[in-house]
Amino acid sequence: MAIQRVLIANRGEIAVRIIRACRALGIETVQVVSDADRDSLAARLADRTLCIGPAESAKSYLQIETLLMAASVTGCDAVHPGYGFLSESADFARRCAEEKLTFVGPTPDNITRMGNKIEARRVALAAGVPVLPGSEKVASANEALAKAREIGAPVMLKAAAGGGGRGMKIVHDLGKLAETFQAASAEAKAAFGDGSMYVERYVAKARHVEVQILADSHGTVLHLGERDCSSQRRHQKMVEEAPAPQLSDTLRQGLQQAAVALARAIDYVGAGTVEFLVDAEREGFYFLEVNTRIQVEHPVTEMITGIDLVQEQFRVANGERLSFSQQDIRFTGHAIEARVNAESPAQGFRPTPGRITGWTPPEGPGIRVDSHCYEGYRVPIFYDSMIAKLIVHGRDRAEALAMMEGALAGFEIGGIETTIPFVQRIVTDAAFARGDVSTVLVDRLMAS
Amino acid sequence: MAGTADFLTDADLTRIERLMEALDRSGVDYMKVDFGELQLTLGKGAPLAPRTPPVSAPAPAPAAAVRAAPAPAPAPAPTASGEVIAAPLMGRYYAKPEQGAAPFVQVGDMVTKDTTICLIEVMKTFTSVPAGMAGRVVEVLVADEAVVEYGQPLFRIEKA
Repeated sequence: MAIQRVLIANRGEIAVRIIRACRALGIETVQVVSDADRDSLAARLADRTLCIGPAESAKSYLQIETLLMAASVTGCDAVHPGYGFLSESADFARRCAEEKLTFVGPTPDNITRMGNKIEARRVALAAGVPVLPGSEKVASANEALAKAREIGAPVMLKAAAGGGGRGMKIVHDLGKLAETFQAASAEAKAAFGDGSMYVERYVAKARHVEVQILADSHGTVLHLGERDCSSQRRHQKMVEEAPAPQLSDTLRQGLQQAAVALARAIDYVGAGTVEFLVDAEREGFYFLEVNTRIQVEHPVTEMITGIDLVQEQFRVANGERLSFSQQDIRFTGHAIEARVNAESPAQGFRPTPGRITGWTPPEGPGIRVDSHCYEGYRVPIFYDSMIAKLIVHGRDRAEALAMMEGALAGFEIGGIETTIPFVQRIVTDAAFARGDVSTVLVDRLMAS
Repeated sequence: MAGTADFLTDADLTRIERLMEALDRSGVDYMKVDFGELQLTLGKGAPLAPRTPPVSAPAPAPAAAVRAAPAPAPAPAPTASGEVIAAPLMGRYYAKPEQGAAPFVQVGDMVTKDTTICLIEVMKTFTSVPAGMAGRVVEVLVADEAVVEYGQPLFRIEKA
C-alpha cells in the first residue's frame, strides 16, 4: 500500500522541501511543530499541523513517543525524518516499524552499522574501500618508524589519549621521527598521563568529497555523482558543488565505485551519502563516514541530474523499483550551493536570531532558493542558524560561479545579519575560482 | 533604571527573550516573574507595562520591558474569565481515571496546586496533570478523550 499521509518530523527548510515533494506525489502532509514554530512556513503549507511540545528540541522534535502518537492520532502511514534531529536514530526507525509506520529512510540495521564508526571502517575495509592508513597504538619510536615507513611521509603522530592538538606532531622527514616521537610522547604523558601514540597518514591539503547513493529495496544501488564540500568552517559546510572540480576521471570513478560497493555491502536502502577525504596532492581518497539520510546539500545533485531525491526517497519507501539505471543518469552542467546562515561573520559567526524585516531572494533561470523564511518571520533562537540555501545551475563551473556571484549580490535580507558577505568571499576567491578547493581555504579567509 | 543591563548575563537575557517570545504568542497580556534578586514584569501594551519591544531592538529597549523592581509592580487584574491551564504535552486527554469513573474535576470544584485535573496519554504512557494553582474550576474546555496539542487550553480556573 503506497504512502497516503506522512508525518514530517522536522522543521525549517527541509520540512518545506518535503512538503513540496509530497504535493508533487499526491501525499498528504502532517507537520509537527514546537511551540516556537507555530507560525513557520512548513506549518502553513502542510495539510495539517500539530504542536507537540515546547521550543526545546529535546522536548519536541526529539521525543520519539510523542512523534509516534502524533502520527497515530492524525492517521499517518509514514514518517519522514528529514536531516538532523532523529534522522539517524536507529531507535526511531525501529519504533516506526513497530507501529506499522513506513520510515522514509534506510533500515534500522543500515543506520546502526554506519552510525558505529569502528564498524563502518571495518565494513569499508572489507568492501575494499580505502580508509585513512593508520596504526594501532605504538609503544616505541622504533615501532612508530616501522609504521611510518609503511604509510609513507608525511605522517601525523597522535596521542592515543589525546585531544586539543596536544601530543600531536607532523613528521615530514622520517629521519627525524624518533626525535619528534620522544617529544610528542613526553607531551602526551604530561598532558594525559599516557605517553602511548599512534601514527596516521597526514593529509596537508584535504578535500571533502562525497558521493550520493540511491538504492531500492530490490538490490539496485546507483550513484548520482559526487559533491565537493571542502569549504567548511569548524566542520560546518558553507559552499558545496557538483560535480567536484579538478578531479581526474580515475579518482572520480574510484570514489563512485567505492561508494556503491560500500552501500551494496550493507544492503543499503534509500538515499545516503558516502563521505571521503580526498588527498589533493597524492590523488588518494579515504573513507570517512556514511550519512544515512537526505543531506542538506542534496539540491546540487538534483540540479545536475534532474532527479528529485526526496521524491525518490518516497518511491523507495513504497517498495518501488528505481525507474532508471546507472546509464540513464546524465550529469548536465555545474551546480553550486551557498548556505545562508543567521550569523554575523564580522563577530565570529555569532548567531543573529530575530525578525526578518525584508526578504527578496534572487530569481531567474537556473536559480533555486530552498528556505522556510519570509518577510516578518522571526528566526528562533532554539535551532540551527541556516535560513536559506541558494543553488545555481550553469552550463559549466565558470557560468555557475558568475551566477552565484550575481545571485548573492541580489539576495536582500533585512533585519538580521547573515553569512552572505563571507560566502561571497569564498566564491570570489581566486583559488576557489580556479577549482583549487580544499579545507584550507576557509581558514585562510578567516585569517585574512 | 540606568545600568539595568549591567548585572544581566547573556544567559539571563536569553531567558528573558524566551519569556518575551512565549508571552508574545500567548493570549496573556502580562507576565510577572520572580528570579529572586530580579523581578520582571513583561506586558503587551496594557496600562501597566510599555509595549514589549522586539528583542532585536537597540539597547534602550530592554530597560523598557525589563524592570529591576525593588518594589514589585502591582499585580495586573486577571481577565474576567480566570486563568487558563494549558496542556503541558501533546497527547490524548482523559477527564476520568478510568471508564465509568467520575471525572477528576468538574465545573464548580475547588482545586489546590497539586490536585490532578486530568491525564494525558502518549503511546500508552499516562501523565497526570496537576492544577498548578488553587481556585475554582469555571470551565472545562476539552472533551474527554480528545487529542490535545501542546499549550492547548484545558480548563479555566478562578484563582482562590
